[in-house]
Amino acid sequence: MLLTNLHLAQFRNYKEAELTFGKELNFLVGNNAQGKTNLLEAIFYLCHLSSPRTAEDSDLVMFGSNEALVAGLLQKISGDYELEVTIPVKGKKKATIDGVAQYKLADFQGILICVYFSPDDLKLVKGGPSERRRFMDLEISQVNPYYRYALVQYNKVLQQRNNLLKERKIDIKLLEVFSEQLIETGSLIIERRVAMIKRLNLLSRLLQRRLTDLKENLMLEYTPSFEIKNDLKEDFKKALELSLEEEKQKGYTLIGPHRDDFSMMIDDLDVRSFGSQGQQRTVVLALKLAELEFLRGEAGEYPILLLDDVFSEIDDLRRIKLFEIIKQNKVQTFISTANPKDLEDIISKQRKVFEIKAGQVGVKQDVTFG
Amino acid sequence: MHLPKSLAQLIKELSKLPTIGPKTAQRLAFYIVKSPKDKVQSLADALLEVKEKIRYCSICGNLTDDDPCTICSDERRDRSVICVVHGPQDVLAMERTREFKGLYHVLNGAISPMDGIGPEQLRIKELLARINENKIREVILATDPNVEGEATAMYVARLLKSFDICVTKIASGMPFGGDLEYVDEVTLSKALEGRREL
Repeated sequence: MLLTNLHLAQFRNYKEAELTFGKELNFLVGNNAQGKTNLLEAIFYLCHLSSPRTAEDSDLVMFGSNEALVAGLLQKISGDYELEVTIPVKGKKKATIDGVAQYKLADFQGILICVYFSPDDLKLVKGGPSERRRFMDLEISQVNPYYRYALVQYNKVLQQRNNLLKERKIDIKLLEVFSEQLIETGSLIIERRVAMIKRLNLLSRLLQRRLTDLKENLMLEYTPSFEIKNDLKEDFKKALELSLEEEKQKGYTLIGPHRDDFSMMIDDLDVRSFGSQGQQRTVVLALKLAELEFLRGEAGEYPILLLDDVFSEIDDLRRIKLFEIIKQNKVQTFISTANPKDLEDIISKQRKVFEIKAGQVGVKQDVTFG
Repeated sequence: MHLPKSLAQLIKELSKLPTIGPKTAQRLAFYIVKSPKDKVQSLADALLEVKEKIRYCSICGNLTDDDPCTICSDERRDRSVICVVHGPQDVLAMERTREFKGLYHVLNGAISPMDGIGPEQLRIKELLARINENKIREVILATDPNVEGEATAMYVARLLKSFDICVTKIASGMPFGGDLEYVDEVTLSKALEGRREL
């Protein structure tokens, strides 16, 4: 898919901006704190209707304004789309597709699909399990609206069940009812995640080998909070029964997809504990590129790729490999960088360079190096 | 604002009602001021009367003027079937179908530990007593299709297991008269789950 145009108004430090993107590489060049990441954030927002950086939509609105606007023109195999979101400081955001207001925001999410990669993503390897759950949930939700619904349902059941566990005298029959619902929606989530990690395992293994000149074999595995032997729902139920006493003591649910994780091993060693800095970074890159392939498989075409200042994170060799992969697959890519020298080794006729300075965008078809 | 005190008071009271914001409250208040006195009188009377006369049916728990309510005392209805619902509004919805000829049982809410609502806060004991005392053939659970509604239905179903009666739950899925292509994914997935053989 191609994002051909982006229009911003009162968004972060952009009073007004209109950008026409190239089909392949789009560079956003500028010093720090000029608004490069803000542009990528706006594109991310068109995908997810949320920001990768803040939970408060009001942060996105330019100081002193009432509302921000993000609009984009999109070309997909299924046709062209005009996406537009208005984000007020107070109240609900409004999203339109081809000028038609969307009452259910879920219909809007999933039209533009992206993979976003920033230095923060190192948390995927180094951080706690919640980072990896978030990663899985975000990616599956992009292509499976029912999954997003199941997650919401699951969290409600979980909240109800935890509240019940905190009561002094617990109605066991009632707890069973919530356990049953927990198993029902939870199993659905686990199934989808297991399937996703299986796919991602194959994809990221290939990519890791490619990024390391066939030296490293990466293996991903879903690690649930209970042992799955043959029947997921049966095993889930047994595990809940076994941990009932502990759950009562602690006052919250100990078993379920909200406690799951996935492991990353290189040649039988856990990357989280034993991987070098360089290895961990390569794994994140492999995961992100695998995500690109995963989403392509699900959506039928490549998503767009947003690379936010990631060159500081990867060495020259990986960078060259990364661009090989992007070029080979003709993925529309948006790259922010403070250091135009990064561009030197990248030769592509389909490149477009934008100079970002204090919320202003200047277009340079080509930059001179030196 | 220079509003007469009584008018300001009326606006304040009206805006306490659900779905009524300050602007709507103001519009209603001015409308009332302009209306003839007899109309306002009958509105005021209706408000007080509903509070004085309406009570809960001692059998089904529905809102009623007379106890037992018109449905519970209607001899033509099938007394062996009870439809369990959350609130009086749901009775109204079921009655609009004109399909259901049995009796109702209003639970007065749904189980939600988050809001401190457990089975004891609902009229579940009354339901069991009714089943014990009368010859009931079938109990239909018509609770809302959300987490709390499902939990309530499952809980009641468990309690009814020890009785020798048929317990059913209303289906969820495709809206009638709609187009498949316009149905949202969640409803469609649910409908697919609940498909049946023809």
